[in-house]
Amino acid sequence: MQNKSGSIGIAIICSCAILSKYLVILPEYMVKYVGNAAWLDILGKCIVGTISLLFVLWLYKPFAPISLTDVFSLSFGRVGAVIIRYVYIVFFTLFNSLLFRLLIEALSTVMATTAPDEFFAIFILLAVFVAAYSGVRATTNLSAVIFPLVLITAFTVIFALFPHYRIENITPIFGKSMPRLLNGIFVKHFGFTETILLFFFAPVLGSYKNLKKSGLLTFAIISIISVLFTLAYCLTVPYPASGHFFLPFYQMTRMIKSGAFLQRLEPIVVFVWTGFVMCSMSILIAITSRLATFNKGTVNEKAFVPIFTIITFFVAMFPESESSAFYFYEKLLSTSTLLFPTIPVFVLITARIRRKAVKT
Amino acid sequence: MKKLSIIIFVFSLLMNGCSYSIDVENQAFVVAIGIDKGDTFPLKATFIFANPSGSEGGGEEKSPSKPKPDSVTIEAPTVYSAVRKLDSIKSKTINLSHIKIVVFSEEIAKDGVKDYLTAFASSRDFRPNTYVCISKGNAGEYLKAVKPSQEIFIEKYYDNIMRKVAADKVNEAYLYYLYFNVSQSFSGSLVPLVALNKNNTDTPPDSTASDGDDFDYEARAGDILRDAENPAEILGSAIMKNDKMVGTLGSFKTDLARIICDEYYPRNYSINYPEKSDFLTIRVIQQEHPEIKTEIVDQNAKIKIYIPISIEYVDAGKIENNITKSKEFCDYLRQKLNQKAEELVYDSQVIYDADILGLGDSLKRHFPDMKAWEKWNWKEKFSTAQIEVSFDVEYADFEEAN
Repeated sequence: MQNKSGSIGIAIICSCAILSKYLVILPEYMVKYVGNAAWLDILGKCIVGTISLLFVLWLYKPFAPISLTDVFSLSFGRVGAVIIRYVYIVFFTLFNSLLFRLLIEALSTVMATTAPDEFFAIFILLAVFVAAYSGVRATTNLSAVIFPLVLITAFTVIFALFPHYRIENITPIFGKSMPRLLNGIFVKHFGFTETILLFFFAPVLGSYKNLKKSGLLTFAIISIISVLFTLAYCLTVPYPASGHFFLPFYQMTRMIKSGAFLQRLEPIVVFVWTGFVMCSMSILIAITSRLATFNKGTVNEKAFVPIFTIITFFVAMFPESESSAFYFYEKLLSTSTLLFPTIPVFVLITARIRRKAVKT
Repeated sequence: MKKLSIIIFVFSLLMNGCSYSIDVENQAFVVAIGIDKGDTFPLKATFIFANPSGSEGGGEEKSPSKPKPDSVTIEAPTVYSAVRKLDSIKSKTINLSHIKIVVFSEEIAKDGVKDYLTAFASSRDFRPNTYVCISKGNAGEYLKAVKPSQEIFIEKYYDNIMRKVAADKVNEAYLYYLYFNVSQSFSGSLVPLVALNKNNTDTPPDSTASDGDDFDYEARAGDILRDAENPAEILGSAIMKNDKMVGTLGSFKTDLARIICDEYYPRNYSINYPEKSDFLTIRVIQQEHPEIKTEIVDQNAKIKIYIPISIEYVDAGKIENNITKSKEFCDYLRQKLNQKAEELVYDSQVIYDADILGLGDSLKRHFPDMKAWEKWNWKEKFSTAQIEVSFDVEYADFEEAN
């Protein structure tokens, strides 16, 4: 593999892919279900996600550092591996398409009425194509530039909103109800699907130790940002109003009063968020192209990039409206545990059994 | 060559961007909206437009001429329908993103403002910090009659006058905060009250204090005895029970509510002290946050609010340097504030049945979840809750005076 990225780089692209959708789904998906205990809900989800990761890592240990795609072949042979690869390709393409559609809808919501939405959509997709075509290494480098910007913006928003925080907004502490909160943690999935990228990039990381380090770093980043951000949102916007806001990052930034000169900070936030989603989309298109390539080599991978970019665009246009796009996105999220940890666990257990059988 | 073609390609993309833009001079900026009940349609919306032409032609030597704000009143089923009709009247593109203030008439407010607030809060056009207030009479007439004497542009007047009542802090003068409050199942809010003054006479209105004591001064907007060109006033507040207006609160009780809610900023008050035949002027400062203790006893709420405030003498004659007299005066003030607070709590619990002090928020922490909170039913328990407000008054430089 040519694209040699460090464990931090891989952690950043995984975090980018997971967090970019989090900014869209937060209020509709979590606050509506658990009320203003959403920050506890996300904390619980991150703990459950970390435990799942550690379990998958433990199962994977004997196979390190080969890519999980090779473990597919070890478990189910070439045909089985092709089927599993296509499951991931389909899901990643669907995730990408719907995220792209939601991004475009969100941009048309926040932009001026006369702004050229279609032009932006094509421009964004073009940028995604260029990044994905340049390869995983280029996308990782791009994410490494965008990610600190996102962190700075997120923490600036959290800090600037301090005068708006009301501790009463997060009481009663367990939100709508305790059973709902527990149900939310274990049943309503957050979508840690992209954690699987760690295992696809395992050869890049070189050793099991690096893979574990990268995985734990990913979950540390996701946990800190998502919990702090959700807590800030819950402290600022009381329930039930908090369940009605689309794009919480945008809404929260609008509330900041930064003086007469810098009255409107939200365009900066929207710009940074767009960059964030573009990184996430690029990496997913790059990885789907890699999954679709059986003869290893970047030239073969690149041939798939334009195909997946066009598919992403057309699938994104299928939902009739923003609400139907969101409905499908929610449905897709409910299947996210299939991609991680269900399939990896199933594959790794089978591979372990087969390996044991061969030895005996 | 490869690099050059990439650069040309990237820059060619930028060429598309400006074709959709509309120049500032081709846009009509709405700065205020007044919402009244309509005669034919459900509502009558009055739009006040910014008129930036006043700054034109004003050199360094000349002061810019004051532009007359442009206004249009339209009857329509909804605000957005009125905006659509506005497009047929105005040649320029209507831009709502610079609205400073939304004024609801008393009549509209009594019917409920939740639908309007929800529409505004979910719209990208309205800023979260757009000011909201309720007009004692017709909202459109109020907006049209505003004649700022010190500001060149009308939008600056709204900004300046509303900033004073909003105190640059979080309260219900802002669109989002009022929307958050009315979204609750049971809540109360205090919204700034505006009106046109019709009392430029020598006869004091009934609601003002007869002896002129600021601590008894419960005047509302429109009641001030004055002589000024601008008839617009902002004083007191409208009491909202959920999203409906149920009454009004006078100026001092509004200040008192702000002190209890920790949204107060220092002001000077004149007080008629019996020990001294003349008025004393003091500055009331809230240096510490109110201490709110809540408990649930036998399914009933028990709330104790302790508010330490300090005063400074602005004009206090003999009391100022006399420790004994100063202590006596502080005791007198404490009694007076406690009595006023008791009246405010009575108004809130018995007369209006609206949690204007937001006490329900402090009680929520006693319940594990919303289910338990809703089952306990604050709406029902509110009128029988034991609410005790006690003030502690001390002279700000008392230690130094010793």
